[in-house]
Amino acid sequence: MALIEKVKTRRRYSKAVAEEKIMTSRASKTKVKFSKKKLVAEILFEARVLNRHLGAAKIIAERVADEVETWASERSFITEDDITQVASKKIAKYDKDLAYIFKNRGKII
Amino acid sequence: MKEIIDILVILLAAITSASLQLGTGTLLMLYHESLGRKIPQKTRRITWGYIFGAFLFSTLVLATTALIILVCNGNPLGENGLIVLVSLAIVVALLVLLFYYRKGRNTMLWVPDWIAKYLKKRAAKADSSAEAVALGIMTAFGELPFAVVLTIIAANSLLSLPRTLIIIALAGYAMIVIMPLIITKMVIKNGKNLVAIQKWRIENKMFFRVFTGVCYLVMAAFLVAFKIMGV
Repeated sequence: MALIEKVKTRRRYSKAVAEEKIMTSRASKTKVKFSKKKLVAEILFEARVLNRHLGAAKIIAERVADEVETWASERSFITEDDITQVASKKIAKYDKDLAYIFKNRGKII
Repeated sequence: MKEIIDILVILLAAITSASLQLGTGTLLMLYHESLGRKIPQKTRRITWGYIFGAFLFSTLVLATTALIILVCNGNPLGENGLIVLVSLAIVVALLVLLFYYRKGRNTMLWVPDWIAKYLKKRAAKADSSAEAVALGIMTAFGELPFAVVLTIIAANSLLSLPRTLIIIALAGYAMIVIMPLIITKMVIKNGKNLVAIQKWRIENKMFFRVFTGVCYLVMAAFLVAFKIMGV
């Protein structure tokens, strides 16, 4: 399972952590495991904001989460920003508005 | 004629204050967080609470500023005071034109980081009308670094009005300040979603920036022409 780092700004690798293949950053050094369940919940949250049919949204969310999980399993370390980017690209195949709002979470003010 | 000039100053200050974007941004954030978690009925109540909070703070801060001027100065500010206010308005106009909006395709603003973080946190946790009122107050407070000059200018003109007009001008000022929030709420009620509004705001970001900056400059010129030089 890939390790995810909460990174929003510049990425920085120290020698020690590079050996362990874990990414660190100035912003945060918290490591969390990729959670498919969490990603599905986040997509469903945005779907509720846009008043989408929850059944359809759940199918989209699970498909996207599966694809992102496959993508993540091929990498040794990824960031939360990477996941947002990849997930929003995959959501855009089904619903552009949902992809937009997912990608721009927390960028209103 | 003197009263008309004072009313125009208050009107201009209110329009400039209304064009600042923190209030609208936080309202959209509140919608986002609330719709994601709650039923639309509760969201409606919470957003009205937020707008009421912004109205309350705008009214109270304007009235308090007027009172402070009256207690400290005994009268509305003289020429020297107005010159200081004009200078501050020009400085804030430059700040708005150069820094108020952050770079990139987003609507993020140049407000202190801790205020933005706190507002996001409170918007996510606002669960009742009372919390929403508090959020409205906090947002209006967060906008004060840019709005304080406008508040002092409006309060100063408020003191020059006859007593019967003061209450009307006070309520009118606060109503104009919260008008973008009411319009945003109506637009959402009429079926537009957050994505459409947010895209529209991003497309018109430059317009808002120039509009707000120019409003500050126009107000500064207006004060110089009619209050300081007394044309």
